[in-house]
Amino acid sequence: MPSIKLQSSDEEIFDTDIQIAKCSGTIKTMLEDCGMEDDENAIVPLPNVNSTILRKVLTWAHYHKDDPQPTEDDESKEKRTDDIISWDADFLKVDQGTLFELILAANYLDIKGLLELTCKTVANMIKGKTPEEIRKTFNIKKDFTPAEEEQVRKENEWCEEK
Amino acid sequence: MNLLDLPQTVLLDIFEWLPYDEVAKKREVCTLFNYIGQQVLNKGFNKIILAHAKNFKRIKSMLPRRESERRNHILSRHSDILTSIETRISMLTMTYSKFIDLNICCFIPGRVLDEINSILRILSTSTKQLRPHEVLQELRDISSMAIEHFDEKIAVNFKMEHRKQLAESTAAGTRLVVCSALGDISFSGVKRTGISRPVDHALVQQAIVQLAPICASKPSQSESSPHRDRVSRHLLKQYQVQRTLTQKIRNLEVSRKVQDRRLQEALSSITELTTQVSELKRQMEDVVANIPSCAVKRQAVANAECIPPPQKKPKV
Repeated sequence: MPSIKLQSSDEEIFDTDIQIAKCSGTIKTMLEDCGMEDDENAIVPLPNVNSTILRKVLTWAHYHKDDPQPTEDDESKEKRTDDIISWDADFLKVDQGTLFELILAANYLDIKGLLELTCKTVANMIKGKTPEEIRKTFNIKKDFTPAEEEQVRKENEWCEEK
Repeated sequence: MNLLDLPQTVLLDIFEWLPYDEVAKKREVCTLFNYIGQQVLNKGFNKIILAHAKNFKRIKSMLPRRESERRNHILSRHSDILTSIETRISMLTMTYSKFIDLNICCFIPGRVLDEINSILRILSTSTKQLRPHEVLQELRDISSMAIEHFDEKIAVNFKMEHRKQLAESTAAGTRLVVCSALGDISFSGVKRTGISRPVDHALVQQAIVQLAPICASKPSQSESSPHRDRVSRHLLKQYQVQRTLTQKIRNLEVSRKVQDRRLQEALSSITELTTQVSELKRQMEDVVANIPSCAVKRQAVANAECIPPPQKKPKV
């Protein structure tokens, strides 16, 4: 199996199976457009991803290398976030900082499956919580002016039962 | 690293995974959540309109063309439900769209979007006869609640804001009420560049309705009431002119649509006739090919009937 070398932002080299590296849309186009596929010694620099995150991303990609290609998203499809498999759930038992960096990496590397998984995970952290709980969970400051806050609250009042 | 440090496209992706009702409620967290939530809700409303149109087209294509057959078709309830949803969507559009376009607010009732989505899902998965009343009840309830609340509690204040701004610019404290009512008019007047928009027409009407009680409630201020009378009379006249204009435009549009449809029908009948002609030609050719065998047996008949047509036909 041919492999390529990926270089993280802190200049660590990851010798990676080419099939696994290609789950990233960014790397795939890079290899195909630059004709680097046949060059065994080519190094692909990834200046936006550090070695810790890249290692995690590659672990994920290795586990999911045989996944079917995601189909074009269907509008009528229900938005489900409770269908995360247990391996993925364990994989994402990390601190918030790492989770967000994984999202950034998945976004930059254009890995649809990983981006979807991480976004779902964050959505699950938001789901069912009150605004105050969310502020606490994510350490967010309430930066509304009193008038703005009142306006949003009032707009949402329509569905409160009497 | 904080959640809010993520790029906005990623935050939008995350919010897309939440039900719209949650998106709406999470707007209360902070200004960025509010902003992202507004984008997601507005986009969600547009998506629903498209999804509904797609569904409607699909169901319509499965129904027979004859009205009498359609009524008894198994999917006729589907079509009825989609028509009701269409009505709801246009009511919602009338309520929110002008304010969304002016960037004053977003599509507020996320729960309505969730409900429409779930009905559309039922429609696309089930093929048995549905009961429109049961399926639509929740949607009817909550969309009416949302629209009512918006008209009574929210839109009123938006108009006040406009009035306030305009009143400040005229800086005439004592005549604030009259000016502000005028402000509403001039506001709609600015927007009246495209006369065909029925929204503006409604705004003028609203302004007049608002002005009427003001005139009626303060008859004691006799010195200013003639002025108000004049203003309101002027407004009424303006409103009538506007109404006739919009009426004319609407009539023109309707007749144009009718013409379009006629043209379409004519075109389709032409294509149909063309296919018929070519079909006949082919049949004719078959007949011609078979002539030699016939001709031997019944020459007289062939001479009279079969031979002349093949000579004529190819010219068509």
